Amino acid sequence: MKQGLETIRYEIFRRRLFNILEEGRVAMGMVSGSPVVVEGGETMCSFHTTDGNTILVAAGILLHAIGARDFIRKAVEWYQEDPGIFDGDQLFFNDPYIGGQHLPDMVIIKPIFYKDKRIAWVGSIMHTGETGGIEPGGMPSSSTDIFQEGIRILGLKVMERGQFRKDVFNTITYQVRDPVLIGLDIKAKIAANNVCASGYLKLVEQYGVEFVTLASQKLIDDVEIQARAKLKTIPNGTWRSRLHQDTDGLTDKPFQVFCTMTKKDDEITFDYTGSSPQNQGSINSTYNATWGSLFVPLCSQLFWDIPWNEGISKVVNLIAPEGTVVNCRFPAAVACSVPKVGTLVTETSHECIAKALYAAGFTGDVNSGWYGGGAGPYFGGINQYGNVCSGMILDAFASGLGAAPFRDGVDSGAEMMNPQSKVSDVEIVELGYPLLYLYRKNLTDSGGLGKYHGGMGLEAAYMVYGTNNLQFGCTGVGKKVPTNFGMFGGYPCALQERFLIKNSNILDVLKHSVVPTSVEELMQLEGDFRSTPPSFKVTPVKEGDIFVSRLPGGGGYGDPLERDPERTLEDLTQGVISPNVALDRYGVVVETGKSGLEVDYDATKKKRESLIKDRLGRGRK
Amino acid sequence: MKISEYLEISRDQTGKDVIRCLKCGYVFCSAQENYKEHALVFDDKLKDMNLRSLISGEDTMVTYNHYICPGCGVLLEVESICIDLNSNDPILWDIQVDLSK
Repeated sequence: MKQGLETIRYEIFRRRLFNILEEGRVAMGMVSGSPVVVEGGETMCSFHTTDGNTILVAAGILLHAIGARDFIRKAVEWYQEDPGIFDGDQLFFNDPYIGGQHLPDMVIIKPIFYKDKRIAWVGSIMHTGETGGIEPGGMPSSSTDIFQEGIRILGLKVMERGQFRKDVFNTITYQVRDPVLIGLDIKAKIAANNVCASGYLKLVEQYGVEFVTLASQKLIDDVEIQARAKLKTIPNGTWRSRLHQDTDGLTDKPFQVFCTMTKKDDEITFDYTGSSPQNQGSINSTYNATWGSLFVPLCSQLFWDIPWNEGISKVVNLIAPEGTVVNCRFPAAVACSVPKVGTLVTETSHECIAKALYAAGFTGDVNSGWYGGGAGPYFGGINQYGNVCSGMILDAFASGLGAAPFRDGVDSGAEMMNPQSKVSDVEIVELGYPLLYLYRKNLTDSGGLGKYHGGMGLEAAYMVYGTNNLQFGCTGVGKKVPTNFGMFGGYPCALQERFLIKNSNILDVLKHSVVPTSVEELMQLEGDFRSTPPSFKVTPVKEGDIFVSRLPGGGGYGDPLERDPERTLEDLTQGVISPNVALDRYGVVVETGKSGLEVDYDATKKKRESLIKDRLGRGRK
Repeated sequence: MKISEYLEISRDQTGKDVIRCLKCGYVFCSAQENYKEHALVFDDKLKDMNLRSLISGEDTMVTYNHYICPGCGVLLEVESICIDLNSNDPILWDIQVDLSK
């Protein structure tokens, strides 16, 4: 039958299918309006076969690159007979023990019927910034089991036989602090599914159901063939990586993720044996969530040139021992899995993939560690208009990128799991939330050093404005351990640090048209200045209180002493690095010449020889 | 085969596959071994590295292991070691190419 498929018609079908999914994502953003969606791009639409296999995905966030597969399979398993699945139904799920990463990952799935027969499924996912948990924002750092993290829905029909279920809708939305936000998000997913299903049925009308069904299966088969072919170009072998984080959100107890990647012929296995036992905090990752975090480097690094669907998962094996942070047992808390264990799964897998790609000669696809965990602050309370509000700041989406064999990492570029994201729009944040940015800028010395340095991370200061009824928390990590990696002599990113300034005199200072633009200047204010733990439970704040976040950069690549001295001079003049780093880590001596700062090449040569001599003297076998 | 920016697997005069420094030719070991076991290594804490430390002055939880080529001193790898978790662990074997085929 497949031989009957015409190549050109198939190619048109494939591209139209993807465009339909993208159209669904656009519809989701237009209905939702949520900053996580509109600016963050955290949406996914996917088509699936009748048994749930993923045909094609359009994802702003790669955590969801396998689409709604697991929810669809569960819906069929649980509800096929009772209450039944009918044309016009749409089912709501958000249980991370079935799929997705955590409760904010809310999905709605819709069966696609043609002439009374179910021929496919469509699913839409987005991150909703409020779940009704013990803290606002959907990602509490203080939860100790999933029952504290908010509503957990296991397949409620928000649409039934084409009718909107207002009773179900109200029951869901009134469980959370911001019913408007979650209500719009639910309607956005319904709209996206309708757009996608309509587009799919147009293809069926145009090409016939047999062609569409066969072409969908061919799409999966082709991806598997392409993935196996790609793997055959990489040498067989084993690569290992180990990274850490410094808190479970409750205590200063570090944990690790250990990845052993074995590539053999046309299959690849990621084994996370050696990762820490699950813990009491909300950092744990379910088995499905670990798959999602692994898909991030699979889609963006290894199989970036292949469509994302079920075919990829046919060549990848995942081993995640039960009872560890990468496969926690119910009802472990998982709210912060994405920026915590999730990023370690992503980054350890990424390091293994990058080194294997290098050995295969794909140097253009190699880069050091990206974002290393550390979500922005979250908050809830009453906004400047007197309305209930809840949400989080997405500046972490503009983290530094890893350096590559031929270039520096991009400054405040993106986050690997969400390459289509945008940094939060300052004006939109200030318009919608009771916050005022005092400053936001690239952070000196935040990227990993190297022959090519990691991109710079962001530093930002947020002042509470227009309310005295707000709570502020944070789900960060990386204060006492670097959370990404450098490659081949490059250094990992700098450490992250956060500060809370309460009872300050900033409002008086602003009246004199003086705006602090650095932590050092903020430290000169009157008030209570403290360096916070990387994660902390929400604490009451009032107008004039300030929160400062210093985010990580990307990892470096290669020995810093091999960096072109002129580029180090440029880094110095542009504030990428500080003078002591230029001298002591890059070995570049700078002097003031006729036209400003210049490299002293003779002194630089001597300095670098001296640093190498020092290394050899200190090194032991 | 280049396995890193500074290391390759090549065949020596006896026909044995070895890991060699691309900058100076220093031979670390056979291709079936962990090159780090044959490199020079020293560890540093952040506060001793003249990199940005925490403003709070708090101690970190890691040391940075620096692996060096004994022949030319080039920095092969920088690895963060969590003092609480990894102090007694064997050296991480990050690159293990299988040459059996």
